Amino acid sequence: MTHYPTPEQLQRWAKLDELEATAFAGREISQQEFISLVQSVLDGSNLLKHLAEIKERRQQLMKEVAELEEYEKWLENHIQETLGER
Amino acid sequence: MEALAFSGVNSSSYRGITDNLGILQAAAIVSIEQIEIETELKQGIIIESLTNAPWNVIEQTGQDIIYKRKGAATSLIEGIIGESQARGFGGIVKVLTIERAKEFYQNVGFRETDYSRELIVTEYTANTVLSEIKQRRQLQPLD
Repeated sequence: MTHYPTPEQLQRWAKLDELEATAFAGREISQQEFISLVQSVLDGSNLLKHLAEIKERRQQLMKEVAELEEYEKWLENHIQETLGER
Repeated sequence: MEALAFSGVNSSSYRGITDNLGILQAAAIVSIEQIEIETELKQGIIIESLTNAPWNVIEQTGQDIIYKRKGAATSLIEGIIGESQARGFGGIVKVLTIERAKEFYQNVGFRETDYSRELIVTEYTANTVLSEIKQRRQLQPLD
């Protein structure tokens, strides 16, 4: 069964086609922020900043992994000592 | 990867839609958070930023017209609402938009909230929004 669009739907879809060009979302930034952002792209400092963030995140994750490994070992020993006596 | 490096976000936050040639037509950065809907907090997807490809935005005239892909942003939003349903959030999606883009999102089916710049699709409207997009695609194929 074919559902035919209503005149209102057709009008809305035509309007939607026009409005697609404005389909932006996000935080509006000031002119100064925009210029700063463009500059960071042109001089590559945005990539360096991102690399620093990724390194910091990797360090944090590695620290968490090390802590978990330590706790895992402790738990294994504890289980061995506790259950091993039974 | 270049777009992600530029934006400084994780790949898991990125959503994009490509055409049949594999060319990116619209992209978004999303997060999964609690969203306030009529004094209740519910899990949903927030579209933190969304952009259309430049050739879908600029007015092109004359002989040097680059192809435009109709419906890229709408298709991307359709995918995100679908993801929200698939993840068990009921299709709840919130967008933080700019003033001049409000009409677009309202035409897609988003509704205003009490907060400025925020528009949402709730679990009650998600199916209606998706079925209208699907109906439109069947009757007026998007690119």
